[in-house]
This record gives sequence, C-alpha cells and structure tokens, in this order.
Amino acid sequence: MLTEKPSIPGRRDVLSFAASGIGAVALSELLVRDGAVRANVVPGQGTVPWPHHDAPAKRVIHIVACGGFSQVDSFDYKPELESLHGKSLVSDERPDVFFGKVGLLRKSDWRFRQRGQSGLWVSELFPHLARVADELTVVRSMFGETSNHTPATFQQNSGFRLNGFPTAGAWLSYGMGCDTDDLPAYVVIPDQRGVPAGGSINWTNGFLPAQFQGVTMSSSGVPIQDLFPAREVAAGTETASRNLLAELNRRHLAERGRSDVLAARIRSYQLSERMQAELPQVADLTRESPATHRMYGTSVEHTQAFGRSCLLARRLLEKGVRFVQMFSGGAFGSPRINWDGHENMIQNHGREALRVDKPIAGLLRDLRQRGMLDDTLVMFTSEFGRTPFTQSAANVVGPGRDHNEKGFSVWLAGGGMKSGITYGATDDIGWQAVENRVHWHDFHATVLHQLGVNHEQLTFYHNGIERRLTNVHGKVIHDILA
Amino acid sequence: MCHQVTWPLLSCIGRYCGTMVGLWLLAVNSISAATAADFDTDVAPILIDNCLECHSGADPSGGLSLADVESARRGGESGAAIVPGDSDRSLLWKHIESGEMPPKKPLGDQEKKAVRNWIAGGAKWGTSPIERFRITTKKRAGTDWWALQSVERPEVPAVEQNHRIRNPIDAFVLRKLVPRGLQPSPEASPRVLLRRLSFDLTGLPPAPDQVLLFEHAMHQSGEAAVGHVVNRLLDSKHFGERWGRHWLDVVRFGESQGYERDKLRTDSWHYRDWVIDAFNSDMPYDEFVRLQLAGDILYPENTGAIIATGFLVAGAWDEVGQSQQSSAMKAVVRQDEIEDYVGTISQTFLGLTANCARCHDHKFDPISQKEYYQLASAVGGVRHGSRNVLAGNEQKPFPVYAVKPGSADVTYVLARGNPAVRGEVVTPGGVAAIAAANSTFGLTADSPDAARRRALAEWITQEQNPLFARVIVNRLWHYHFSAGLVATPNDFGFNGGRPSHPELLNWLASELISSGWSLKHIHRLIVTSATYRQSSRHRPECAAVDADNRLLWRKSPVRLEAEALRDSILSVTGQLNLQYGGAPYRDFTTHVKNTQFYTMTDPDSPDVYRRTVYRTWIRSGRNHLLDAFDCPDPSTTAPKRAVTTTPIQALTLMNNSFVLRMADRFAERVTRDAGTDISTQASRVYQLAYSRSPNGDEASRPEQFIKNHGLPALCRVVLNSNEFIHVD
Repeated sequence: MLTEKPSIPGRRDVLSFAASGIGAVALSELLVRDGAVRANVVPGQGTVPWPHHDAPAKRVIHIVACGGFSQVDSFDYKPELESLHGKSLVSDERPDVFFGKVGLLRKSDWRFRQRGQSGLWVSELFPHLARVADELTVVRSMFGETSNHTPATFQQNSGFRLNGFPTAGAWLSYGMGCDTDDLPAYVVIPDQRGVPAGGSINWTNGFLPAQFQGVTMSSSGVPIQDLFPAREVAAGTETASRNLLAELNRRHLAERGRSDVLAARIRSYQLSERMQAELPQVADLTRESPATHRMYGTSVEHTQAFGRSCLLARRLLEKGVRFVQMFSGGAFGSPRINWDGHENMIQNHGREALRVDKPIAGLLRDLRQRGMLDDTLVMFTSEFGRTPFTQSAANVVGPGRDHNEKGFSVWLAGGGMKSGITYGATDDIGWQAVENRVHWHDFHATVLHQLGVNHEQLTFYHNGIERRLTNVHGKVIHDILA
Repeated sequence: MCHQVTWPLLSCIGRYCGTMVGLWLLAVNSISAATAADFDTDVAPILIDNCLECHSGADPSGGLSLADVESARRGGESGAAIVPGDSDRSLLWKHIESGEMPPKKPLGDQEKKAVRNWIAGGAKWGTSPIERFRITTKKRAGTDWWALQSVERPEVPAVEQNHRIRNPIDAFVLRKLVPRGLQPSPEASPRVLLRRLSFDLTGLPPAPDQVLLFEHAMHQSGEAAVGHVVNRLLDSKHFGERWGRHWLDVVRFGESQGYERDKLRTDSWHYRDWVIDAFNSDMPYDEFVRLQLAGDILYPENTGAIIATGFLVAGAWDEVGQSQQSSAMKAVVRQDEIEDYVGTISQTFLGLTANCARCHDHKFDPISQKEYYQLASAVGGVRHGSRNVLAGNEQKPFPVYAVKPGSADVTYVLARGNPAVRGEVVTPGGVAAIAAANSTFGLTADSPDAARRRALAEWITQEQNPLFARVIVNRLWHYHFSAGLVATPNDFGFNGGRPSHPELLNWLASELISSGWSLKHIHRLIVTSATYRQSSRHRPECAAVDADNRLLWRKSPVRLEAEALRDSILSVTGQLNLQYGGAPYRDFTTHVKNTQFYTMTDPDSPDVYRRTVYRTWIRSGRNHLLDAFDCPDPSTTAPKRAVTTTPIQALTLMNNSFVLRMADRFAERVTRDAGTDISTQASRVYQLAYSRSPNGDEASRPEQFIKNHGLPALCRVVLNSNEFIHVD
C-alpha cells in the first residue's frame, strides 16, 4: 500500500508528522494515501495548501458544555422574560419540544448585570467569567437543526447530524497539522466524571485518516495511552531495543532500494522517543507557580478537575498543539453530570457553572498575560440551549427547562475576535433566534477563517464528494471579527 | 414544439416587444438540424455547468429558469433575460459580461463569446427542455459517462512473445505499460509469493514449513505448485475471514447503535458470519447481493437469507431520535436513516453516490432528485430491529439483527430534503441513466415492502446493469493491488477516478458474469497473473515515469492492515484461536448509564485471541491498537483504508500491553520450538516472523541482543520491525 514519489528521503515535509498540515501531509501522497493518491486520476481534488489567507489565530481551545446550557440564564439577557414570568407562552407556533411538555415562562434564576468596560450582560451564574467579560464575543443567535442531544452534538462538532463525519478538531489537524513533532495536533480532555454520550465518536476522524482523530489526554497519571511500556522494561534494554529495531529497519530498507513509507516508519520511532520525553513534562502541572494554580482553582474542591484540564490545555498549546477540546459534562441520565437541566435548573446549572467558571476565567487571564490570547481562539459552545418556558404541566412554572435548538448562545474569545460585544438576537423571551441568525456552518466557517482556512477549500474526497466541515453551506460572520 | 406562445407582458415592455416575439417564434419554429446543434453543443453545456443549478426547477433563482425554451423566453423577476439578436440588451448577457453571473465564478472568455454570439445570432434554442443528463460536460457526467455504458467484452490484446503472459490480465496490463517505455518486474521468489498470497487471501502469514514445501514444489513442478497453493488458500476457511472483513468495511458494519445510546447489538454478528460463509462457499455474487437486499422476501423460510438483510441495517441508528416526542423531528431522523440505506446500497453495489441527490439533483452525476426518492421509496419499508429466526434442524428460535420489514409510507420528493416540504409522489424505481437496466419497477406508491425490495434487488443485480459487475471486480482488484483500476471503489461517477485500464475492467466484469458470478474465479485469475506475481522491488527508472504504479510495473508492497497485524502477531506467537464464527469476542467491559459505555480492556484469554474479524465492533468503543493502524470508524463506509504512519503508532506497537505480552509468548514458543541455543532461537524468530532464515551474518546482532537482553526483548523488536508488518 505504498505510493512512492521521487522525493528525497528524510526531507522534513514528508517525514515530519506535524509540519504544516495539508501542504505537507495531504499532498505528500505518502502519509495520507487516501484522497491524495487520486492526483491525476481523480479530478477535482481540492486540497489547497494552508494557510489560505493571513489570519490572527494559530490554535484553538474548544470548551464543550454537554447537555445544553441555558442562554436565558447566562448571556442572553431578557427583561421581557422577567415580566412574563409565570405567564403562558403566546405564540402562533406550538413549541415542538423534545419531551413535549410546555410549562409557563420562567425568568432567569440568576440576576443579570452589565460588566466591564463593554457593558456586556452576564448573569451571576458566571461571576468569574463576568470579570473578563470584555474578552468575550457572545453570539446570541445560534440555531440548530435538532433538539436531540447527540445529533446536535455531532452537528456542533462536525457540521453534520449523523455519525461518521470528522470533527472540527480532526479537520484542523488534517488541514493545519501541528506546530510540533513531539505532540499530537488534536488533544481531547474529557470531563473527569466521564466521557460524553457516544464516547470517542465525539472526536472521531470520520472518513479522514485515523491519525487525525483526537488523542484523549488526562490531567493526572500517564497523559496518553501507551506512552511507556505497559510493563517494566529495563532502561538499557529499552535503548538497545530501539537501536536494534532501527538497524533491522535500515537493513530492510537498504535491500529494497528506497521507500518513503519504510523511511517514514523509521522516523516515526525516533519521534515517538521525543514524545516520550516531551509529554510528561508538558503534563506535569507541578511546574506551574502557586499563583497560576490559584488562578485556575486547582486546589479547590469544585474547580480542581476542570482547573487542571484548563491548565493542561494551556501548556499543550504553548508547546504547539493545534486544537484542544475540553468537555464540561459527561453522559446523560441520572444523576446528571452535565448541563442537561430538565429537572432543576438552579441545582444543575449552579453545579456545572461552579465547576468551570473560575477555571475558564483563569485560563483567559492566563492566556492574556502570556500574550497568547491574541493568536489563540477560545470557544465555549453547547449543542443547543434551553427553553424559556419550563418542562412541566401547562399551568405550572416548573424548576427545569427542556432542550431548545431554536435559539441559543455561544461565546468566543481571543483569536482576532471583536471582544466585549454581542452578535445577533433572539426574540423577546430568548426562545428563537430572530436577528443575524447563525447556523453551526456559519460558526465553523468563521472559526476556520480566523485560523487562515477558507472553509470551502479545506476538503477531503469521500465517496463522491469533496467533503467539507461546512457541508455546502457556511458564511463567515465578518461582523464579529476584529 | 411550442406554437402557442404566451408572452408575459411584464417582461416585454416597449417597442422591442414585437420584434422579439417575432424572433422568438422564428427561433422556436424553425429549428433546423444545423442551428439547433449550435445551441445543443455550444451553449447548452455552458448553461448546464454554470446556470441551471440555480436557474431551473420549480422555484428558480430570481424567477428565471433557463431549463427550457418557454421559461427562458418568459424571463424572470427582472424581466426578459434574452433579447434575441441583441446581446447588449439582454440581461443574461449583461450579467455574464459584468461577471455578476454566475456568482463568484465568471465564465471564461470562450464561454462568454459563445453565449454572446448565440444571442446575437438570434438565440436559437435547441432541445427543450435542455437534457441536463444527456451529455458529459466539463463539470458533470451525462448518460454518456463511461461507467454507464454496457460491458462489452474486449478482445485480448496481442502482445509480443518475449513477455510473460500467464493469463489475459497480463496482456491488458502490458499493452498500457510497454508504450510508456516500461517493462514489468521480474517474478517474485517463491517465498515472497507465498507470503504475499497468504496475507492477501487469508490475512495470515504462512507457516515456516509451508514456505519450505512451496519452495520445493516450485522447484519440482513449477506452475502447478502455484495453482495448487492458490486453490488451497482459496479453499481455506481463513479466506472468508479475510475477505469478509473487507466487505464489512464497505457496509459500515458495527455492532452497536451509535448516536447517543450506542446500545450493544448482541445479535448482529450473524450477518458477519453469513458474509464469511458466503465468501467461503463462493456464493454467486448476484445471489449474494439479492439476499442482502431482499433475502427475507425471496426465501422467507431460509434463516441465512433473513440474516443477510443485516446488510441494510448494519449502520448506526438513532434510537433516541426515533423515540422523541416531536413528530417533525422524527420525520427528519427517518429521512436521515433512509439516506443511509440509499447511500450504502448505491455506493456498495453500483458505485453511485445517489445519496448526493437527496436535496437537489446530483451535482455531478445524472441522478435526479426524483430518482433519489424512487430509491428511497424502494427501501421505504426497511427498519432496524431484531427478528427471530429458526436454527437449522433444532428449530430453536434465536434473534438476529436484520431488516424488520414494516409498512412503506407513500414517498414524496422533499424540497431541499426537508420532510416538511412535500413535492410530488414518487413510486419505487431506479436510476434511468443506467440505460440497460429498466429503472421502472412497475409499482405503485402504496406497494408493499416486499414488492419494493424484490424489484430493487432485481434491478441492481441484473446482468445488463454495467455498474454491478464492474464495481465488484474493481473492489477485488483494489484489495489485491492496494489500488483499484478505478481508484475510488464507491464512486464510479464524475467525481470518482477514471479507470486506468478500462478494457481490463470490462474484461474482468464480463469474465465474472460468464463464470456465473464466481468471485473466486476472479480472485484466481488475478493472483495467478504474471502481473500479480511481479517483484515489488523499487525501480527508479519506472518510478520516474509512474510513481504511483498505476501502470503496474511492479507489485506494490503492502502494509498489513490493523486486523492482519493483530492476527499475525497471534499467529507467529502460537496464540491464535482458530475458532470459526460464532458470537464475537469482547475487548471491553461495558456499563449503561443512559448511554452504553465501553471501557477497553486487554484480557489475556484464548477466547479473545481469535481472529480480529470476530471482534465486537462497537462504534464508540474503538481499540487503540487497531485504530493506530487505521482501522476505520465503523460508522462510515470505508471502501479504501488510509495507511498512515505516526509516532503514536510507534508508541502503541512498542508499549501496548497486548504486544508486550505477545512478545513473551513469542519467546516461549520459540524456546519450545528451538530449545535454548541462541543461534537456533534467532533463526526460528526469523522463520516465524519473516518466513525466512537469517542471511549470512545477519543473525549476529540479534544473537548478541538475546544474550544481553533476553529473547522476549528480541521478539518485541521483531514484532515492531518493518519486515514483519510489510509484505513485498
């Protein structure tokens, strides 16, 4: 299964596993055989080397709030909802909600205040984040296609409601590669309480080569699987084994004249040694100062887990990782360990926000003070929002809210975004996006744009189509770019 | 054609009106062969490629449709688009000239000129409506597309005597190779050939004594020995295990629901066994496919035939989506599910991406949106589920995951694929562009599921369907040579690859049909060809001309796929459990917390040391070792696997607990076989792992290494070595 090009063995762009994305990887016709090999046999191959244009952002932190986090209790201030509290929804359209129960309207359980220089509205659900409100770009007019968690989550991450499509992290590691050979391009840090529903499907490579799937990493213990031998191997034996392996492989290669694939494999072992040296250092949070630890809340009970994840994320980005995805929340069901506040918003969102508020605020401050926020794009998203009316009998103000894909909020920070602003709007009660509506395709197109990627040019041929993260849609939202 | 002209008043204001009507009438009524040809050959392709995507259909952009003469003449919201004889007054030309249309992608100078001259010359129309699907243009395939033409059995080319021709395949290959100044590579050695055949046909390495026997037999009886060994391998049970796995890639076979719950399907493995058995028994390919589409209908008493329909439901299924309250959202989920069926069926058996026509006519191939819904209608009764079948003579029922037939709803064309916006009613049917196979099923909109699927199976599998045979022989070629004659095995359309050897493809397809659809016949032809038996050695002078080896100047070397790698490790270490078929092994523990979760484990147990095809293929529970070697996501069809090389892969093979344990077992086995003499041990390691003994002084380093670090450490190194995981 080899494809050989008349190239010089050992040249960096072929044998580096990171290099610079499509330019080196996909077009090398070596490491990525599928798709690339079609050059001159298949028309329409759309791999345009990255970058497609100058762009402010070089890397991404994506925080995924699993379960559906409430816009009307956090970033989408609705005075109307306060006055309508306890009233019935008045609408031509009967809400077609997931669990079918439409209770009375419920005001936010957290008071809203204008924050910072910008006067951005942030509720008391996020007291720490509120203090860095001037860094945030809130999009209040997101809408999705489904109120079913997993298809909505897939769409948030991959643009499609279905299983089997690559996530944004996989697309970007395919398109941009990594700034280092010593670390994977796309790292996933699951919630300490467990992985989200669908597990690894949430960071899948889909139809992209498997090397582009997210590598899960933990902020405690051995950072990645199989980094070191599963059982004790004497240091001398380890070194001698690698030397012998290199010798056997060199001899094997010499007998075959030349082969980029065999040479690449030899080099992959050299790089794996460097990864062994680098990763434990990156993952070693004790190297951070006590002040930094305090900022992330790593020694406080409620925030220590997510604080460690945030701190690890920053350390990974510093070393050249392209895309770090952190999950806030795990699986569905009872007891709830994510933002799916059907039963009781105060308890549910109160608990989930407490876990992440301080760590995320610490992360933004830390990135800012290190000068990294300008070229790091931070995104905080959820698969959908929650209904302004409660999930209860029709004449009751219940304590919980159902899923709402019709209008919800996400925020971004850094990475060349216009900060301290909101974009788009929902209706008076925060139910449906009505002004400057933003679909995930538009969101993805914008994110890609900030990373120097034209969403129409980041493509991969699969079964008849040059696939894109944005399907055949997507408009960059220029109004939110600095 | 169009004598009653109803000229919309709004679109023709002023004194030009009368003139225009006159010209139009002239244009429409006096189409001569010569003038019509100008439009059809010069202008229509430009409109097809650049305009009709938006300016056609029921709701054309700006109200302007250019699809037929009447609507083009009528103009759009901005008025008349075309003033015959006067391009400068024609909005169509103005928009094209300014580059405003087509948006973002202005026409080239030649194309602009053609449109301008056409209008200036009176805008004489040709065929109306424009036959978008008839001709292949620069941007899309028409019904004249190569893959849609009948399979004509070509003459085997005459080739010079001095070349080694073992069967017609070689003649077709040489005819392409020699004119490029290339010569085929010499024949691979018996050892290399046996190793290649073993991995390729069974996914396992040859035992050392088989290598010696084969070398001896080649020496004694030459060609007969090859035929003998090929038959032995094709008859081996391992053949079906190997090729069954390839098939499971294509049909997105997984044993859990996917989506949120990802519930384990404990009864879907019967389909996997059925596939393996079918390959082993060389079930005629047309029957193999009929059963997967409609086995339960064709042979309702036959357990295997029911199990075969597991094909249709091997993909992910959104359980939560199906049970949600909102009927509108449920309808969307159902349409997504049907797209999965249509896409998998059309890609797997026809190399057509019919799923791309769900929201609009196919952008690249001659498949209309209506035809998509005809296919959707044909599978409108298919639903996921378990059904009880009877086991052989015991007659004790057991559940299998298979099609649970249901009532088929009336199918509508859905605007932009949206179930809320219904268009016309469609009846079950196929794709008319496959001209040789009648796409009309003769059914009504309310026909039962049985009639629909039966008709679909007949339409797909008929001998006249040129795609049906071509697509499968290309798949076989793809797995034997690491690249298909068409490089995109699921896509024979415009976006797919062009055949490197079109006549060979036709010859193989016709050979398949005339053999009574025997796949083993095709396998035998391929692996006994001189082309297949070439050495894989690199030749710079050939690589300079054909780096990708599309012309087959050598046999491309192969890296073992994830499953073959694990199986080989188990095999050489003496741990492989040869149990054939049955319930799958589990390399995970599982628990349910709303969602079913899978925690990967590495059990040290013979139950698990079965061939990897018998793994439980969970969509969210992927195996780290297998993933590192490009095992595909079971949620998506994988007609080709990527072959990537990464540091993570190196770490996994060096450090994974399974590999380390197998290194120990390998050492134990070698000690059993070879005793304690280090030199004999090293030799045995080479024989088992590389199918050869060390050459000359080659063993001195490994022997020294055993002395210093022990045999298990050497075994670990060898399991990591390129020679172990690459096949020449």
